[in-house]
Amino acid sequence: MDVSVIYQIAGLGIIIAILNIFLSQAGRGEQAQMLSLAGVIIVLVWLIRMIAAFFNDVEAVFQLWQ
Amino acid sequence: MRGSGVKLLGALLVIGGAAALGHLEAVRREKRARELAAVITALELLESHVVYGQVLLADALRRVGEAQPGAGWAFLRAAERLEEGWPASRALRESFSAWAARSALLESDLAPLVHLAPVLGLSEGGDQARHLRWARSQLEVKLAGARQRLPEVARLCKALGVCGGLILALLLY
Repeated sequence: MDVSVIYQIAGLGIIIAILNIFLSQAGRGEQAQMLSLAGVIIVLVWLIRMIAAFFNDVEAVFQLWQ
Repeated sequence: MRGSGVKLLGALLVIGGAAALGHLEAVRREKRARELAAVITALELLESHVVYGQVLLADALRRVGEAQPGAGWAFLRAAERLEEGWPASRALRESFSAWAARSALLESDLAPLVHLAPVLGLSEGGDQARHLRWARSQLEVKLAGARQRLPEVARLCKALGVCGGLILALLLY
């Protein structure tokens, strides 16, 4: 089981949280929000790919059974 | 094992490169504050030459350019252009525009200087001194704003560089 993706998502979240703090302190709240949104979108894209691979695997299993 | 070593080296290079870019941007912001201060001092010198020295504009610009290494390039170039026979306003405008491309100053920082171009050498001493004082006051406001924001902007640029590199390394991993 590949757990590196969990570390990638956690690392991305931590870095974006740090950048969010820096940008908010510099008075750039809008850029901080856009950065958080970009991070959420990136993680969602990763998740969608993994879910698509999962569905393909499930489909392959049922085709083997038929 | 070798593959992961190469990946790690690549990640370090990406992070290092992005951190260097952030650092360079912070250095550029600091350079802008220094150049603004140098231009203000240069304008003070120019005012004293124009009002009290009563010298030709080309001589005044050359003396200011030699006395102020931080901002002298534009003034020396304007002096050369004047000695080549260029009209005063065109020489000044061209020199300041050329300096904008090679300095850390923004277009808006040079606007007060471009405003001086049609006045210097073409109107009487008191009028030139008034315009020089106005340009200096505009630049002092910009310098005060730049210096006030400088520590947090420099910190932000460095943080953006490092964190941007980390994000890129994570995405590429």
